[in-house]
Amino acid sequence: MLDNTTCSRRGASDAAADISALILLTAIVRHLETGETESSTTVSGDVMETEMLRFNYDYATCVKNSERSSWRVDEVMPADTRLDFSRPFLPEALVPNSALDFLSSEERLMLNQISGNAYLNLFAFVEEYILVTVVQHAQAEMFGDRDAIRALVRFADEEVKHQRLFERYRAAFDRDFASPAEVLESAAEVAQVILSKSPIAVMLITLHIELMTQHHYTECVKDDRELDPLFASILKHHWLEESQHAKIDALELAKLVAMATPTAIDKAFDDYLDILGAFDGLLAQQAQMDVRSLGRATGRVTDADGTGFGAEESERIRRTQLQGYRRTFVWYGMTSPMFVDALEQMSPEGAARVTARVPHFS
Amino acid sequence: MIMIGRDTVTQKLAQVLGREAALELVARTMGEAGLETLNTPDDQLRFANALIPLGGLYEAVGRALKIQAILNGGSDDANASRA
Repeated sequence: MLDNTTCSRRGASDAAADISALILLTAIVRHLETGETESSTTVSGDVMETEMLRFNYDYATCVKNSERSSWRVDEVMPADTRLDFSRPFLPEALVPNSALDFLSSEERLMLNQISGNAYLNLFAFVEEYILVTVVQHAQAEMFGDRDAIRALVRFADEEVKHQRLFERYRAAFDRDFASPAEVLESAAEVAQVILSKSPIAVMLITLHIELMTQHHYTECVKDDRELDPLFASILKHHWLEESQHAKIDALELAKLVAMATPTAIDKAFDDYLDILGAFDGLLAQQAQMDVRSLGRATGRVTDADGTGFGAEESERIRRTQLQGYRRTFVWYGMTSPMFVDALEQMSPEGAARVTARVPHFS
Repeated sequence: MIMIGRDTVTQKLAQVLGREAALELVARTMGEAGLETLNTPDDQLRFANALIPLGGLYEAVGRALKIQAILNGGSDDANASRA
């Protein structure tokens, strides 16, 4: 039951925001769960009876699923694991380098592996800010819903665990790969940029990332038997836990949207697009680093700052890498049907602005 | 669903103090903070800022309420300009 004191001052626009939040949550739940989702929302005056909502998951279900699918870093990748570089790490859908016909198949394989290493590093990057965000949400819930606290604290623990797994993999890559591969190193700066945005935008980009991770695994990795089994296993275990995180994101997002004014929701869309822009800049940097890393790995480099490729070849590699990263990290999230539904329920105008940006990242 | 309001504040404090003592503390703290209502994130932030100096578990509840208010758009700037 709502706090009547609260509701008595809440006007029509606030009630509309509540409705948006509830519809949003319903839409996301419908996509995340295979079963039927029931919701029954009644509005009387400007008071909404939220207790009428019935979903087929809640924080307690997320905790239960998290406990069932939980794993340990040592199970997925024992500390002394040696990497096998005979197979690609990522599928062509995420690393579209077959068009680089001036590279030998061995060189394209190396570029794929350089991309895989950067892929895990970028996840470790974003998990830095996600950890901070989730801990904030857990702290906000303190002395409140204990199931929500458990779900959020487990979420935080799992994010740190993912970071530790990716760090272990990255250390093994640095040890075993042909030559040093450059990766972005300013995780704290990225966290600063994202966390300076509105909490709704931060939760939007978090939902984007969690859903994107699911699309990567289920659509691109799961059935690809050519991929390196260890890398595929890491992505599988990551996905297992991220699928619960997406549900928790949806629950947290709905809480924020329920309290937001239309102006705040508008600003969240601005902030979300700003974050994508900043992220795009990072992806461009990583693409440039990859050209240099490939030059070193293939032994083509003749000077410290060079790439070992001609100007045109370097540019083609850079553009191909950037296109792959944009599609992987941005396009898959912003076009996820669940994410699009969520945006449209929050604000059709805002959703249209996001859709207008899609071609830039495809 | 609604995460801001007098009931939410009372509910958190009741976990620490029990309901009667929580109701009393909410009324007293609202008076000290000059709050007539506890309806918005800014109101909750102002309430939390008044609770935090009490220390101990009161401070812990205050900090939880403060973060919750900020996540919901509450701002110290808005309270400063209102004061």
